[in-house]
Amino acid sequence: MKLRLLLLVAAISIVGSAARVEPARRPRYGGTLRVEIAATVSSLDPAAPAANAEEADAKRQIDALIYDANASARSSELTGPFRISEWQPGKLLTLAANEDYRGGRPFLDAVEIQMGRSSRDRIVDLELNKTDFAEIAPEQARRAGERGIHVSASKPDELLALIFPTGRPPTDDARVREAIERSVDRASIVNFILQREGEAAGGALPQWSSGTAFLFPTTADATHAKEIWAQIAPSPKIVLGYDAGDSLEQSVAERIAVNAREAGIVLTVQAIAANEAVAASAADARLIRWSMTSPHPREALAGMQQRLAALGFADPSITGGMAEKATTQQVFEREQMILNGYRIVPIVWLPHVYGLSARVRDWQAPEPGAGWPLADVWLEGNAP
Amino acid sequence: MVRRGIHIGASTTAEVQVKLTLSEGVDGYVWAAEIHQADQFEIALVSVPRQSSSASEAAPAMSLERQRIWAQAQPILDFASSGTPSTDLSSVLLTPTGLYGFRTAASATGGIGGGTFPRLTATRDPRGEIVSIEGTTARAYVDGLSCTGSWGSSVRVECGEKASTFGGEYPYAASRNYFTAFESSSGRANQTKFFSVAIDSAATAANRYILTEVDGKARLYDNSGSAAATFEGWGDEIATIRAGCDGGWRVLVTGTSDFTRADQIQIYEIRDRQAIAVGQPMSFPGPILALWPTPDGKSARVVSRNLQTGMYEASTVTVSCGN
Repeated sequence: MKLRLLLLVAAISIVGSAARVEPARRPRYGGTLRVEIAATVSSLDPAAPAANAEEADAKRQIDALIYDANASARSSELTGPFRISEWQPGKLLTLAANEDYRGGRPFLDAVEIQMGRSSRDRIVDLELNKTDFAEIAPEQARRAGERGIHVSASKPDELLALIFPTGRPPTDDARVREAIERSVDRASIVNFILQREGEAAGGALPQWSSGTAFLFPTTADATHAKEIWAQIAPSPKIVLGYDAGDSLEQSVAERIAVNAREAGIVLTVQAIAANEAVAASAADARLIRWSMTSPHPREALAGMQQRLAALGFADPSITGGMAEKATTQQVFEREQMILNGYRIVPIVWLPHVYGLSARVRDWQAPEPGAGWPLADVWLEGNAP
Repeated sequence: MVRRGIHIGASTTAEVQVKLTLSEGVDGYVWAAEIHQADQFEIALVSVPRQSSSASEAAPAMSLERQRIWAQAQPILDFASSGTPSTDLSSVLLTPTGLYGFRTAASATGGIGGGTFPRLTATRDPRGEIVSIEGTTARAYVDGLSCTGSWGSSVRVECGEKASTFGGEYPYAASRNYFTAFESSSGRANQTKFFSVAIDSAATAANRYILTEVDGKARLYDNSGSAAATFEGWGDEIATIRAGCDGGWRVLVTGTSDFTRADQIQIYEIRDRQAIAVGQPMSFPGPILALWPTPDGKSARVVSRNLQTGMYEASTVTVSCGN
């Protein structure tokens, strides 16, 4: 009994000392940042194609750590802030600080990236202080914060949108798409599914970027949706596809189906493999995620147009170019053109959310298009 | 409003209604006019670039006064004035890339050019200090090197031998951001890594000084060579200040947390082995990156970053006795 008590006291002391970190301001050198990601990256070769969007995103982050983004041209030399010290494809990547990095040696000695960690595992490991850095799903941010995890969110820069590919008879009538758009209750998606971690999207760019998103309505109008739907005969049955591995997409798709039913629209949801091409899919509509490629409206909108072109949209009103120095008015008008035909229906803007251990310092969520700034991060409690 | 010619009344279909909204985006402000006329609806947008904020700071705390000297988008490491207006060289700005001179002519201060350092080893937390301005020459330490700028017929900036600071005693760790002190205690040599030092200038015989060390603690040392006291909750930048008021050794101390947060300066009075906070802290809208005492010790040079505007700001902070 006494031994048990002693062990308990010892355990409490250890927990106490791990949680207590001396406050500091000037960056400290040293330490290994433990990172967990969901993706399994099978090759670090930039030329090797990624199996899915998750892997592509992870490769982009790793690229930013091992290649010099500001170098005039990417060379075969790895000249980024970190160098590869251990690589187990699909499992573990260990990076060591590049002492000769052009921008100065990173504060960290090393970064250890564990791959294939589920959303639940990442949160548990953050809670147990087994990892220092992991991306968290936006809908789990609030709960993670309540569990004592330090949460950092970017500006809302990822769009969850509904797209209606061309050549699908049930949705080729613009009135069908408009009725569905008007039926969507974005506010309830933000409030209940996302736990307020995001904002309703009416435009193709978020308010913080364009300053004009407020001009695009986001409120549901079930009455008008019903009126439009009543004009369509015969009423088509719509299938909405979502990424089978994405629980947020599933929840949003199901909510859209509920909203649609309330407006009298027959819409069912269907899980689709993440890597299944939109063109090959049997779904009439599909949820997609798109991360902004730049914080600046013109560049971001051009990035979105590229993505839409890759998804098979060829209509010039959607993919038409913009002048390099397009004015705010011109960017706004292009946004209107993209959205006017209801082929693309913005639903919500999501932030990228990160969970951090108590010892991580100087972390700032990256701007759209930029990689994780881990070279600027340092760890409290590391005396060099 | 009617007297000013604005028509107020019930809307009619013939009237043009304009809803004007001032919004904000990443590139600046946006005026949006939503124009309704009969069945027509139009939106007109005008963007206005955001000006850098020139709003003054909130009223300074009772015992500390801040005067902003310079602000720029590029990083600043230090700044210094020769103390007298000069047509040769009156003040100098030190940045991670070079030294820039200013002179005063007809009550106006203008730039007289600068020179960039020869290639230095880049560090992610560059530090530097201007140690002297004499005539047309300024000397500075930057990332452990000693550099000299001369403003003659042309500007010349050269960096030479490895530098040290604080009386030449404490070497700067290359490619890092701290200094190293070698102490001897009980026959053992100890190596202490620290960011900043405050020396009790009124008691040189006692040789008392405080180091803010890399473990996050500030330690008071005296003749014994070992730490006589440890102060927690101090930031990494400290400087002795001679306030001209009654009392003893006063030290300006920055706040804790990291470079993504607001900061503050608090005056502490060191009595025996205790540090007592005096007055209210002065807050800064971003981290204080450097805090150096002026040569006369009556004020401190502060380099900070305003997180609201993104600008680096050079200021002097003085202590007011509040009487």
